[in-house]
Amino acid sequence: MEHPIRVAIADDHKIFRNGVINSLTPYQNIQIVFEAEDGEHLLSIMEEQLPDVILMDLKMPKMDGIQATIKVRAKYPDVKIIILTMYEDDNFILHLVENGANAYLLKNSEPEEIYEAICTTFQKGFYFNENVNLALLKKVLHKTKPQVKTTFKDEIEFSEREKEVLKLICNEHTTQEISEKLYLSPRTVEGIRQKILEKMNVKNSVGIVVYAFRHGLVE
Amino acid sequence: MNFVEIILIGTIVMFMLGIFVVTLVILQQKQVIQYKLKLKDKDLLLQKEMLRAALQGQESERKRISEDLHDEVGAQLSVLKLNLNHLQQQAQDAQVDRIKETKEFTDTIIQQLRFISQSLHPQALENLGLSHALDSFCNLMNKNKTIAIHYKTDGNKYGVDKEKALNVYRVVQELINNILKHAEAQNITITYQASPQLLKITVEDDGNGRLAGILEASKQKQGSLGLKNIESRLNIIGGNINFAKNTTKGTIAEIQVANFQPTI
Repeated sequence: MEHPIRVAIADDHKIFRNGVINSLTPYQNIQIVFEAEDGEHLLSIMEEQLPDVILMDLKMPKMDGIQATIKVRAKYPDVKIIILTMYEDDNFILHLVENGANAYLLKNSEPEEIYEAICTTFQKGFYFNENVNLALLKKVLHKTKPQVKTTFKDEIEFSEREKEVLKLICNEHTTQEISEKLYLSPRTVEGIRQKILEKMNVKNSVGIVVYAFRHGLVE
Repeated sequence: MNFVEIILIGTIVMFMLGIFVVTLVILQQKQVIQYKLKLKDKDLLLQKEMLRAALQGQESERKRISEDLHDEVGAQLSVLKLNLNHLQQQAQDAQVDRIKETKEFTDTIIQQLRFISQSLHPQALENLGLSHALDSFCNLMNKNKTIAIHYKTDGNKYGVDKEKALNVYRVVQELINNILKHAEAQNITITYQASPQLLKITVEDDGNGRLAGILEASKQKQGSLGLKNIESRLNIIGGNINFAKNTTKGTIAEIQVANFQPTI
């Protein structure tokens, strides 16, 4: 037989760590190498000793499982991470899988499943159960399904005059130049400019330009 | 100086004095009014601050209870289940079924615990932001209720200020609870949209269209907090809510919050 799979467990509840370790003892090909109380603790132990697979809780003091997953993934790309948490939430599943988790299990999973997840992630690199598959599927379907579009582009209505002035402001024209171009008195131009300021809820011409570009009002 | 002149001058002096006194009185009154207005403003501000503090206190308490339940009790129940597994392996035929039932019962408790805990405080809000938290809320409700809640987003990535996010979340939660209670709806659609300046969330149901009326009426009743709760929360964060009749049937509630992004 090859060497046993070295497993580490990071969880702030000792009673839960013990529970998991107890239920994994019958399996000969699994060896618990160390326990950590939080993300920081885990990373500090990993300076000296690397496991093959980490069972990682999400909610932990000091450094939580999300941060720890990101850090471990960046520093030790070969170490497999199995999230073992109370949080049953598609958004958490997606977030963690996107950030490098190799499996996502709930704490009330059957020990057989935890065992299977350890073996599968170790051999194949990942273990996706129904929870994860459904979350991923939802995401894929979400992407192809037409979602709402932001409709704010036309939310503030500008009159034709205002649009003309807006365009000229964005082209660096002064009030004087604009009034000459549009055959309006400078006071009228100033009035229109004031109106644009109010509509956009900005303070000065720079604000107008920034707004106009951000909202695609000018090219 | 003759007598007439003296009288004339005297009258003028008296008249001037009179005007002076009247002006003084008017000025003083103006000051009093201004002072009262200021006091009122201050009072309103103080009230707002007090409400905010009360809500914050309530939220942090909820968070504590939610986390204790979820993390402590949840972990312990999970251990209980692991132990039951252990027992199951060693048990005799007749006991195996009993233990299996107990395990399933434990799972049910854990599921309920998750629901209670997430209703008390949305953990996803802190880690993943408002949009994801609302999506998670819909998933949770869909698992536990007969109504179908659909969630749509424009996929924008604008961050939302923490306090504002939590208040908006609570408002949506309150709306959904009221729809469940009163609107006789089958479907709810929540739409999440944002521009850099404005966050807009609509909650649309296909029910009896009486939601706005019922909420308005509940304002008069004592002990009913529905709309009051919604309005005061939005007031604190400078948001507003509008109700409109849905074109087909039901109600559309639109929540708007300006300047919602966190200040850095």
